[in-house]
Amino acid sequence: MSFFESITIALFCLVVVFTVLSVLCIFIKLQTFIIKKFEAAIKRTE
Amino acid sequence: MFTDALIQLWKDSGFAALNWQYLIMIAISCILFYLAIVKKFEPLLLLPIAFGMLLANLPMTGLMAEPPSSTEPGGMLYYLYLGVKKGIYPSLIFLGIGVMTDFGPLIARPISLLLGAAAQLGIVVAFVIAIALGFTPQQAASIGIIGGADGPTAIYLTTKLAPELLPAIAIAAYSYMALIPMIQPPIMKLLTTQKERETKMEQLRPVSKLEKVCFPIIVTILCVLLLPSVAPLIGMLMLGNLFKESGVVDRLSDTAQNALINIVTIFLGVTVGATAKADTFLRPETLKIIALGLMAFMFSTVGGVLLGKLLYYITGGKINPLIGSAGVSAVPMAARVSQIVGQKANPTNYLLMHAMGPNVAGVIGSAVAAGILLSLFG
Repeated sequence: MSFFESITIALFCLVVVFTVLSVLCIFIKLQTFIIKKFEAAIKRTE
Repeated sequence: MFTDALIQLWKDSGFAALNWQYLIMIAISCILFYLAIVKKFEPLLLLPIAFGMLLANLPMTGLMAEPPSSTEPGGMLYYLYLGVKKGIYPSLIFLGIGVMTDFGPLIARPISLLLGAAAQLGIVVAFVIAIALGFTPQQAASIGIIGGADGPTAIYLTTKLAPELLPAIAIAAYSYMALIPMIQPPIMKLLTTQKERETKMEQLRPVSKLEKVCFPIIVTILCVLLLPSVAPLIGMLMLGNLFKESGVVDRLSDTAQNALINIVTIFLGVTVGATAKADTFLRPETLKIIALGLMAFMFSTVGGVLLGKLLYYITGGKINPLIGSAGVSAVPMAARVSQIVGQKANPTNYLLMHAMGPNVAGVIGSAVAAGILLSLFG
């Protein structure tokens, strides 16, 4: 593998790690939002 | 007759087969004993590794010998090593780690995940340099993963990609994890200003039980769908965490975080150590791996701190850049280092819980990085 190829793969890896963890970050925020709404709705019903 | 018996006894003993290579390996195992027992460098893993190395380098034992035929048995450690070879032990260790991990700080501040991603920089830097030094892509990926500062992940990936480098990589990974309090602070101080280090962070919001229960399920679904190769590591990590957070399987939770993880740690340590034979370990490549491992750790710290700085400016000084260095996994040592360095700059600063977010994000980040490397080179 050439040096240039290794840099391309390294950048690709870093981008994928960032993408996966960013997606997770968004879903955790979404989860928190939904759960808060859900808990508020339950409280209102009570 | 008596003399012949004595000569035969000598010939059958390990002393007759000892050579200088065995003696050097025995000396190295003694150095590891010293580091584990006296210096307390990750003793839970380093001590069994050192003993495995000692056993494997006492000649004529055949402990790691493959079965000579289908009817004759192999060495005891050969069978135990199958758990490493098949990637079972690292995954079981992740199960125990999952039970012991509190993802609350991460759920309270999800942006910590980005710090966990940035702190994987060392993996890719070490990978590029290892390729430049002539290692194969599989070997370079295994060396790079040392920068993830996560022992089980490093062992898992190395057994899949470059098993011949396993002892050097495992020893480097665990030694540097123990040296984190010495490696990280100079880099953290170099990259941050006094004002940045003094930053006090707002208290984290409380996280509800429902959020904590949903978290492992969501992470498993997302990560495994995005990267199926991380399923053994992330799956077990999140299963362990669900055991803990669900609160309905206390017995399983207790077993996973105590008996199971301890038993697997013994098997993993001894068998990884036993792979360190003179012919595979006493090579110039071992020194290169140790140097590259240190570089990987340093660049991972740099990556985390630099993204921490960026977040400091984006949030208008609400995030202390020092918590970025905790993104290198090594739970909870790296978070403690952030706390210590932060408190030195400002004695009223309590960064520990804030640093736990990037710290546990680093565990997920390094497992994801391992999954990508496995998909590319496995």
